[in-house]
Order: sequence, then C-alpha cells, then structure tokens
Amino acid sequence: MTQATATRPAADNSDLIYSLRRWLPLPAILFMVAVTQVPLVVTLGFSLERWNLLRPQRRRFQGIDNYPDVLSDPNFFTIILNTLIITLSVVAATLVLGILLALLLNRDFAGKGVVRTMLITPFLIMPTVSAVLWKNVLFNPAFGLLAALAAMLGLQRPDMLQDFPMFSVVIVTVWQWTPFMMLILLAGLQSLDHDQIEAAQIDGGGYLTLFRYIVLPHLRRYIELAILMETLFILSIFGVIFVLTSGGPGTQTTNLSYGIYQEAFQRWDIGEASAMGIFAIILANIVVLLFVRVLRRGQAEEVTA
Amino acid sequence: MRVESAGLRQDLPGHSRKQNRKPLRAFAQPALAYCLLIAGIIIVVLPLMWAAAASFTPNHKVFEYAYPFSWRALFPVDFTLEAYENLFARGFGRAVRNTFFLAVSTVIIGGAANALAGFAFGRFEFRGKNLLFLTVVMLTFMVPVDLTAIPRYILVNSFGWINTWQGLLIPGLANSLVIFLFRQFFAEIPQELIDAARVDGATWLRVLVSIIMPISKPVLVAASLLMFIGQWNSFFWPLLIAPRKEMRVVQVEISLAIGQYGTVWNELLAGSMIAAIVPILLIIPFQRYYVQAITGTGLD
Repeated sequence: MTQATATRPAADNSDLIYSLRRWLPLPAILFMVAVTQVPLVVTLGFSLERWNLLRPQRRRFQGIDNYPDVLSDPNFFTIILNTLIITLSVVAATLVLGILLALLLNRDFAGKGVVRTMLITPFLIMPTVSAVLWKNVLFNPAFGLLAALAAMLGLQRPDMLQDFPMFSVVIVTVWQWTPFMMLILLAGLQSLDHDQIEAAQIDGGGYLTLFRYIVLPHLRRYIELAILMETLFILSIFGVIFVLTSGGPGTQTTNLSYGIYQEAFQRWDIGEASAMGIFAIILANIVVLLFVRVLRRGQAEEVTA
Repeated sequence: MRVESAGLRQDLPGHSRKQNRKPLRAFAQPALAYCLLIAGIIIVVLPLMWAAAASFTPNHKVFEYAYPFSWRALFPVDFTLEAYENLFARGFGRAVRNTFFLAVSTVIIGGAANALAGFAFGRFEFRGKNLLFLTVVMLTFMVPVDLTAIPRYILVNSFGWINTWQGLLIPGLANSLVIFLFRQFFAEIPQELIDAARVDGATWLRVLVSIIMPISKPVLVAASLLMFIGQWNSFFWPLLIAPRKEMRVVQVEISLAIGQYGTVWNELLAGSMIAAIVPILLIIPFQRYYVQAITGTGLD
C-alpha cells in the first residue's frame, strides 16, 4: 500500500469522467474526511484540556499538562509493556503456527477441504464469544477441560486467569489469529512456481534448503502483509481482555485500548484518556513502521547475499 | 542427493514418490505431518464440540461428563433444546437481528460510500488528492479504530445519538482497506473500454450498469465480506453507544450476560453457538475472495 501517488493518467477528455468529476468525489470524500480525520483532530484537542465528565464545570484548556501526567503514571508503562508483549508474542506465535499449518495444508490428502474449514473456524468466531468459550470451557478452574486434564495427570488444577493471566490472553488471541496467518500464507504457497521447486530439487536441495532459499523468500511479501495487518488489529484488541480478565488481576493484562477505556469510561477523565490515545496512535505508527523497516532490511540482505 | 519435500508434496509429480530411495523417511514425514494436523484440529475443535454438546444439554448436567472428562462430554447424550428456547424467550433473537441488520446496513451504505471514494481516488485528478489519500486511507489504516472512540463518543453524544441506529452505524462506515480495494479496482479499468461504450452512445449510467458492474463481482464480494465481518465482530463501539436492551448486539448481549446469568451455562454456550454459526456459514463459501482481498492490497 505504498504507491499512494501512483495513479492513472487523468482522463480529461472523457465526458463521462468530466460530467462526474465536478460533483461525484465531493460528498464521498468530505464524508470520509469527516469520519476519519475529525476524531483524530478532536482527540488532539481534548488531550490539551482538563476535562473530567464528573466535574464538567471545571473543564478548561490547560496545554500539554496531561502528557507529563500520563507519562509519570507508573501504570502507563505497564500498560505499554503489556500491549507490546501481547502484540509481539501473538504475532510471533501465529507466524510460526501459520507457516506450519499452511505447509501441511498445501499437501494433497483426503478431506483437505473439511480440515481447512475446521482450522479456519476460530477466526470466524466473535472475539468475545471465543473468550467466553475459553474462559468457561477450558480455563474454568473447577470444571474446565484443562482442570480435567490436570486431574487426569495427577497435577494440581491450574487457575489460569488468576495465575497466568497474560499467557491466557495470548493463547486465546493466538487461537483466534492463527487461521488468518495460515490463510494468507496458504495463498502464498499456492502461488509458488512449481518449475522453480522442481529445478531446485534436480539441483539437489534438501527440504530445509528448499524452504530457506525458495519458499521463504517467495512468502516474504505475504508474511510482511499478514504481519502488518495482524499487528494493527492485535495492538488494539479489546473484547478478549474485557471478557477474559477485565485487564486484571490488577493491571497485569491491561493493554492500551483497555486502559483508555478505563480512563475515559470508568474514571471519565477525557483529557488524560485522550492524551493516552495520542500516545497509542504514535505507538501504533512506530510499531508498524519498525516492522516494515525490519522486513525491508531483511529483503535487501536477501538480494545482496 | 535425493530430495524429499514434506510440505511441498503437491508440487512433485506422482511418480517421484515411487523413485524415493529413502522409504522410511518417505513414510515418516507424512505420518508426522498427519499427527501435527490432527493435533491442530483437536485444539481447535475440542472446545467447540464440548460447547456445542453442552448447549444441547440440561443446565444441571452441563459439567457431568466434563469433570472427570469422558467422551460423553463431546456429544449431547441428554439432548434438549431447553437452552435455545429459554435464550430466545429472553430476547436473544433480537440481539441476533440487531447485529445482522447493522452488518447488512454497513455493507450496503458503507459499500456505496467507500466505492464512491475509491472511484474518486482511482479515476479523478483533483487538487490535494495525494494528501487526502495519505490521510484518509493510509493514516486511518495505521490508527486502530478503537483508539479514537473518545472523540467519536463525545460527538455522537452531542448529537443525541446514544442508543440510536445512526450513532451505531455512521461512524463505522468509512473503511480505509475497502476504499483502497475499490481504488485499485477502478484505477485498473482500461479507459478504452469506457471510451468505446461512450462512442457507441451509452450514457454514463449505462456504462456503470453494463460495463463496470459485471466485472466488479470479485471486488464487491471481497469488500462486502471485509465490512460484514468488521461490523459483525465490532464490540467496543456498540458497548459504548448502544447498551440499552433493545439495541444490544450479540457480543454485548453475551458479554453482559456473563455477569447477569453466568451460571446458566447451557444458555451462555447456546448463545455463543448462534453467534458463531452465522459468519461460519457466510464466510466459508467465500473464503477465496476474502484471501484475495487481503493479499490483493499489498502484493502488486
């Protein structure tokens, strides 16, 4: 999505285009600007105000004071760290599992369609519903499947959400997002040139060599795309945390989205929540640009190697 | 050196398997692959089967076979529709209808708005186009939508739109990915195709209906899927904007139900099953288009 400026030459002489161009773009574009840009600008504005909805009469402009306030809150760093931990571990785990499953599904076997459909299912289940299922079916410390498994093995029944809250959030999110990675990478594998593979096999490359030098470079663009899109979604997951842990215990699983939600809609501090929102937007952009940079550099090394 | 490729078996012609000089390896690799696949399926399917079976079980028996675990937990041995009947008596059907209505409205209205914007970006030259494209599409894409919920909430509130359909619907219509899809599609239609029809005396409406529409099926399906899933899965916004009972969507209903009647396990699971089945039935036949939509955005 980088060639934003690469547009077609203008079709000035077509009177279809000419008759439309005067009025058609305007309302659609204006609407898009209104719904996408106004919230950003307004967030910036609110972040410069002292404004708590519980004390609306004290609302006033106060400059950048909210920003040092947010930064000096020790919880804020926990929240940033949590967001990064969740995002990085989910993306890494889904990438590995996604590649593995895509390679397995790229073989021919009986019932392939059914298996693929089954493996996609978690991605199609609403996030809160997945969280409800995991919380009650698997993680329930009294009757859950994990408790049953632990009892069978003679272990102590684990209370996952209490003892390993972050791990639980990550597991549920990985369960949900692995099919996304798998689907995109499977599309990549299926577009692989068969002749290239055969040529490499005739030249005598082992499976790992084949994977390392032909499959992986070919998949790189698919991996890049899938990571980029997944990162954007995982950075702001909300439903799973809301249902599973409510950010707890304490702030152990509070990410930026959930922290902003608490600040704005439980403490009603719009000013500070907006400042957190600005930090979150900056973080999202940094993470995405870093990912792109790292992946691009890897690509450059691939060429020069 | 002879080559055996486990994951790429389909790329090998059938005879190469027979030529294999390492029969043990040739046997072990598919076996390992099948074990991994089966493990994957169990992890995915077991909780779903358990939940599905439990949703057809009387509430006091939901955990009877789960702990200690037996195979009976995966099948509804004491089959009953009690959970579903109670659930719909409580008005869960309304939440399903609300979610469906919202998702379909988003696809129709949002589809039209995003297509127009994509058309403008793809076919028109106007001042500030690149800047607008950069902010409306690229920047919006890089900012997770939930992070700007506060200003949107306050704006919607100041319009008096809390607990209204327009408050739920309008802020979610713009979808940068969908605009981008349409932009690519419209930019790639050859001008000659349109010019030829114009020379033959077709009106622009006719060009739209008989030339552009028929070739736009893939982009329409892909865009519709993206918007439908996006709206079907949205939770944060409906939770803020429409908490009133009559307006609740499925996700809000289920998440609030945990606290409210959390011990009615079979109803909670029955609700989850209904919520899961709709997108599964809808997406599975169209998954090809979905993948095309995602991969088509960044790979050319």
